[in-house]
Amino acid sequence: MSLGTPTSTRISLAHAQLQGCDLCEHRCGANRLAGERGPCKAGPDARVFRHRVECGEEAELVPSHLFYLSGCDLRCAFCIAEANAFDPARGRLLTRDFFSAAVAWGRTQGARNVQWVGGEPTIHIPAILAAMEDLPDLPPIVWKSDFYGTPVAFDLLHEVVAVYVADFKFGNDDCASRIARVPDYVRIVTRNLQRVARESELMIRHLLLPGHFECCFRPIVAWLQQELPLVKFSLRDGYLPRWQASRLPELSVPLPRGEGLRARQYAIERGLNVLD
Amino acid sequence: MFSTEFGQHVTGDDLTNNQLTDDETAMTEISFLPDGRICLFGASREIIELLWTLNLGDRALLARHLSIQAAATQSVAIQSAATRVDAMEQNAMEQNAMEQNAMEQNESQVPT
Repeated sequence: MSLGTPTSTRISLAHAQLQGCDLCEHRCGANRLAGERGPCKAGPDARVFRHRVECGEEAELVPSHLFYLSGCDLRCAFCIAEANAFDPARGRLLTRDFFSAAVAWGRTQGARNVQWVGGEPTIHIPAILAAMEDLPDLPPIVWKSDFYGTPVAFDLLHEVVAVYVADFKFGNDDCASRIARVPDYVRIVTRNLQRVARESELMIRHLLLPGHFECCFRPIVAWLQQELPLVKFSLRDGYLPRWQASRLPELSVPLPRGEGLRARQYAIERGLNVLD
Repeated sequence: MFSTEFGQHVTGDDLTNNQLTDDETAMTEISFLPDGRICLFGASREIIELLWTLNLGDRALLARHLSIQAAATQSVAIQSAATRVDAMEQNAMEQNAMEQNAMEQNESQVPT
């Protein structure tokens, strides 16, 4: 599943985005090199607020070396990364030297791949590609994303990323707007899922949210059943009411006991390819 | 330049150094819910193996345990292959050195 390292041409194209950013669907057009900032607040640099080899991801990915980048284009009230996710000034500067040394360390820990997570890595594509440029023996790249990126962003990642892990969070635009403060969510995410499913290996992840079985989980299952029934579907039932979840009553509590099993059964009965 | 409705943005401290990355490379966050469920974030190999010894009967845990075992086997295999290659290279270098010495000795015995 290993693919090519980014070429200098691709890195130049990505860098051009910093002068008029259209990497995410906010399409703010900010000139990040000139100090302008869009909704994600990110400048030209990317920062890593944590990196470690984890074994709690989907079985086929672990052990996975996760690089957590600060800054995000969404504002999910329940974000488990909390303030780190939303302040792109946090963490250490992502450079080629740092990344190279970190990857070498991860390899000694048995990591099978490098996984870019956030926050949201899409807003940092220019810095990420630059950090990976010409790196020898680059492990397979896993891209864990909210899938709110533009087609341009996915063009830049094409044939660089081996496996996409998509967080399909909400089954309707009202919940997306209320919880993550993001417009036109379902159309954009489903468009990107369709495209990536055609071009690459894709895994769709859904974190079950308390009180959102009918409005979010069921519509997501229905869409997958109709459009991408064979895609790997990872159901996560470890929701914790963290960050600003308390401002939304239904998100202020853990997932009811048994909900995970119920959801899993529901998805399996509808023929989805549910991962363990 | 842009008005944003996000409003919840946290400015944060000026953490442009390593303060947040001191050493989280082996850190796992574990939450125990009131009903006894355990939630993990950033589960390390050690934690997965520890949970495995508790025999929780969780299919997902089984899958992860098997996966990291497979990775460990692969890692050992790669390491032993690398060791073999190193040994072969060392032998080859020693052989070359011996041949070189022999040639030099022969050359020095050529009558002038």
